[in-house]
Amino acid sequence: MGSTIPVAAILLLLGGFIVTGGIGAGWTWSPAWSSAEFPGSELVPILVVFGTLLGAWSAGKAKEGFGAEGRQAGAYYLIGSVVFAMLAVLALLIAFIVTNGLQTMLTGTSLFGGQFTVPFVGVGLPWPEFPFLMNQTGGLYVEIPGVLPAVIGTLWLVFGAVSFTVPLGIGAAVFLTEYAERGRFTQVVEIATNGLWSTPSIVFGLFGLAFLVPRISGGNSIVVGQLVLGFMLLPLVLITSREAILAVPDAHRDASAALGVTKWQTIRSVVLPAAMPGTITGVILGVGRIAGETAPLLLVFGGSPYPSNTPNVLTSFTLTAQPPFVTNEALLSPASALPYQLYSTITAGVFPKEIFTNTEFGWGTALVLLLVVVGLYAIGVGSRLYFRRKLHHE
Amino acid sequence: MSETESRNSTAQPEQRVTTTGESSEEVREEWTDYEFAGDAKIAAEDLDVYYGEEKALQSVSLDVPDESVTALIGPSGCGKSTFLRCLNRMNDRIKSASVDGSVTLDGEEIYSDGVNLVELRKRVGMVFQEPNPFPKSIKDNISYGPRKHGDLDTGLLARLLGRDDTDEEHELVERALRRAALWEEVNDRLDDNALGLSGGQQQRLCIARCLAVDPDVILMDEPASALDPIATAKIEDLIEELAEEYAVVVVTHNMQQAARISDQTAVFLTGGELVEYGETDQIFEHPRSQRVEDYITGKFG
Ligand SMILES: Nc1ncnc2c1ncn2[C@@H]1O[C@H](COP(=O)(O)OP(=O)(O)O)[C@@H](O)[C@H]1O
Ligand SMILES: [Mg+2]
Repeated sequence: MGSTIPVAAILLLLGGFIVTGGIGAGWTWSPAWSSAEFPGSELVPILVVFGTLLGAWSAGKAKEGFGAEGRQAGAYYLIGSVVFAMLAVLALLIAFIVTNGLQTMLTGTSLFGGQFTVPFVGVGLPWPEFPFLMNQTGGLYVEIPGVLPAVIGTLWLVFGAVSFTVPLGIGAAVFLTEYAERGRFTQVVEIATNGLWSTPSIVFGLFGLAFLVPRISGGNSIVVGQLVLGFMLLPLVLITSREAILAVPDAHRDASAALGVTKWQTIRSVVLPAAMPGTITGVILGVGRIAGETAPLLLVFGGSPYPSNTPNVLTSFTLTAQPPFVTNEALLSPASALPYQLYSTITAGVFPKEIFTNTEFGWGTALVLLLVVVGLYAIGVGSRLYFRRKLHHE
Repeated sequence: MSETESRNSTAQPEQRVTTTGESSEEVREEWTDYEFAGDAKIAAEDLDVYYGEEKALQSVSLDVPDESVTALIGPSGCGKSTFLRCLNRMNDRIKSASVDGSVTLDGEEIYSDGVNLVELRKRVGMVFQEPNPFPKSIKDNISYGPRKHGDLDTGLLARLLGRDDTDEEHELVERALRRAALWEEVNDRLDDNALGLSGGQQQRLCIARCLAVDPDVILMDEPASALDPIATAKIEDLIEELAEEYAVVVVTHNMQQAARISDQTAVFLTGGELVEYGETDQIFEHPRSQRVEDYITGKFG
């Protein structure tokens, strides 16, 4: 009871001031003790937020009758409004990107304006047209510049990073949990991986620039970008799969050993499948981070800010007679990725095409980046569900 | 987890055994001499087991006959599980454990250097106290062992290579499940996850999984202690039936259960001593050791 009465008084006073127009957007508070000024347009929202939290808290207490129940309800309402506020901020962010980027992204789209030529038959079918997603960014004949090179670049980066990191990370986690003796060595590795995960990405980028670039491609390239992002992802995959493997009950290992199954087969057929959902969770989190990573890409990956062609990784493999026997021109060339595209567009001078300004193109890119990341999440969550299903009866 | 719990919760009776249980009584050699027809399937000879410094088994010698049920009884912490784990060398998996002495399976030493643990454990199967099916389908639980041993080839690769054993797998799964008296209950959901079964069904699945590898000996460590009375009765029936083909060694701390299902009984008492071993009726009706009589009549433990 004691704490709710002053709160109610304060709220009444505040409400009164605002409703009667005592304080409002136009009003400014300049306290005598300082030269700072607090304009009402900023002060009022802050006061309202605090008022809401206080009000929710004491309303909860009052509703359940002030005792232990009341305190419980007060805490519940307080936490509830904080969570709600968080979700509101998130919604605001997404809404902001969507409203700013949608116009750009939808420029020139039509549901049946495009043509899809059926392979081998040669008949054209009406097909959705989506120039912002399907066009090159630069080039002479491009009317509506798009972000296709950046989308493909981002997908290649993520694919490359994940495909070498996941086996390495899981392998290291298996070694550390199942084979290595717990002791000084595993402790050092643990601390090192945690440290690597919190290393700033620009440091990874610098390493790539100074060490990998001269040795591998001699300039910015996709493959170095993949390696650098992979190194960033590796500690998280290692940490999460180690946790997931440790969480597999020993009863499974004993049961398998008692059947006369070797340790390695047990790990492969019992331990790893049971640890899969946990590992995938780690990969999902990590992919979210590396897909939006910009700083290292500036150093080791990015090429022309307005690329006029999409990296053609699949068809560029060539065999040679000397080591390294397989080369891929496309992998060794720089490219564009969505966050890199976003950065280089908004920091560049004038957009080369009339149709968009830099900012418009940037918002469109941001929206596509958001969608790509959400899409990658969806794939990850889907595969985690699939493995969960297999492990549990549901 | 439950292993430690049961060890802790029974710390008290264990103490009482040492204080009131006439620990001065000497164990006589003839109490553990048990004559039976035929060769021993498994023979333990002067088996000592240490966990670090602590001695958990004191020079235990025990011969297990084939095609019968051997019960190991005794208060908690007296080394029954430890002894059982010596018979398929599962103690090798416990870092602090060291085993001294000899165990022979069909006359062959299993504690010599060249012994292949994989082969040994294929021949000596084990069922644990807590049902521990893999988080896989019922069918995969059964075919897991044979598949890993290369006795079964199924799956996409096998199909592509023309070595598919899907029919054999079905047969093997059905045989093992029938043998474990579980077929009727699960034959319509072989592809469901095994964790969806009840505790008793899970334990019978674990028995079936063990049978699928076609062992000679089956070790069971309190296989019914986590189960309700009905499920327990089913497991007991099953054990008696298995004894027609296998040497079954069952640990239990339930004396009625030992009396019901076993042909011969070995009584361990605190300190890891084997005190008396003989025909079950004789052990329960005319025990030769005073301490065993006290234990059986419930004076302690
Ligand atoms: N993994 C282990 N590490 C250390 N000591 C153990 C371990 N397992 C059992 N012991 C000890 O060995 C003794 C016998 O245990 P156990 O064989 O489990 O007895 P029982 O199965 O008859 O209850 C106990 O004193 C127990 O504390
Ligand atoms: Mg035990």
